[in-house]
Amino acid sequence: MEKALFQFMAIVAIFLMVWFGLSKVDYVRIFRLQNMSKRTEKKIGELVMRTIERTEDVIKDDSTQVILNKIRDRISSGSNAPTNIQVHLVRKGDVNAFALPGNHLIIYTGLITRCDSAEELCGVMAHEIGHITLDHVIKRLGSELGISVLASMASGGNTATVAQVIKTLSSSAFERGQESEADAFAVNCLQKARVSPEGFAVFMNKMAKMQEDIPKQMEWISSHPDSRNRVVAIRDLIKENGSYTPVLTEEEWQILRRAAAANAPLEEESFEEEDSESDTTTAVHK
Amino acid sequence: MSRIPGYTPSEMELEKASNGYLMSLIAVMVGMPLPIINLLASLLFYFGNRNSTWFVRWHCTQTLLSQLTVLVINSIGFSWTISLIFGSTVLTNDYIAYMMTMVAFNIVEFIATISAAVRTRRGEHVELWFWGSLTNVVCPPPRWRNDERPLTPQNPY
Repeated sequence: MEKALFQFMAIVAIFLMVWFGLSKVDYVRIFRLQNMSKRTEKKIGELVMRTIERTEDVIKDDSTQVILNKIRDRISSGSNAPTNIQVHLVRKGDVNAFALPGNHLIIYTGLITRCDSAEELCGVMAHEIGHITLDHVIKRLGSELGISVLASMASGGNTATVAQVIKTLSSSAFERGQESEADAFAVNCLQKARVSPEGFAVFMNKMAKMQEDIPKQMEWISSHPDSRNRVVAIRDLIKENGSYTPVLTEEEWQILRRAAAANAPLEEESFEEEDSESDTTTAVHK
Repeated sequence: MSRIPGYTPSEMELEKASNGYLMSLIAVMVGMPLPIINLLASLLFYFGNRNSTWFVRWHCTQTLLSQLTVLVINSIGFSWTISLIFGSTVLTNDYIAYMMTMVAFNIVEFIATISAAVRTRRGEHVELWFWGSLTNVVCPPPRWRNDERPLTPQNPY
């Protein structure tokens, strides 16, 4: 028995020594594995973005683009988010925003018209930028479509696969843990960028109240479960007594709102109800 | 050449014992990405021969124990890979080093198993390092259980 025990300990020691020794080599850097994965993601992102530009109405308006980039830059200033995130505004009434591989962020005009302040929009954008920064997008595609599909996409890809990627990213949820991580990222980076995270909480609260009767176009909420619990978690993360500055001037916000409203008609009755709810919530937390 | 003193296994025993090792090798080829397959094959062979002679049982046990050890190592690598693909784990040097160590251990075990299968078929009593000692604990020869009866093909117990 002693002999077997001694040999077992020896075999474990040999295994650990070999593992420890081999782990001292920096394979990730030598084989540029990180870059390989980023290159694949970039290629997939370009492919998906080309399809979106072909099938959707992407608004190419300089004045709105400048404003959206201003919000993006403000978010980036409070985090380690990639500096090359491209924000695209798509003419669509759905309340939706989603991240694509290759650092692309899609925002539907319907989302902007539902936001009552630039801080609300900024919160949603920070959340999506969180998914990009934390590599959730490519991991989710890998788990839902398979690594082999992604690899084949990087070398061309077919229309059906690209459509599947768009559908997956725009209409279904990330894992609960990833949503929480993105929420925490959003609150943290908003506070560091001196943007009030209250707007994010207000928007989430507004969405939670609407969740009981979700219309089909409300994809952003339906794909993000347990909004009420998330509101509580977001509010827990918000530190007291932060000194914040507006993310946009009133004039910039109105330009963005008008541009979005001109392109995304909404059902009047639910919008009015929304306004009254959000006013109440904002008043409570001011 | 290692032999059991006073005991010469029959041709059938040698073949069965050798097949135990071969069984695990075939399973390695079939179940390369799923480590559990190898163990299942060895387990089935072990249960199929548990009423056989001590010599056959001893070698089946050694195969089973070697597969169990490799199963533990491979299962860690397998679950790590799965979490890398589907979970939030990131590719690190530790992971690559673990996979290399795992492959090296599998190769060593593979060669040892082939060698054991061939030598057992020739009539040798092969005791692999660590697994042989462990098998002696799990499946001791009759004499070690203070059985004074001589080991013969007619009285293998």
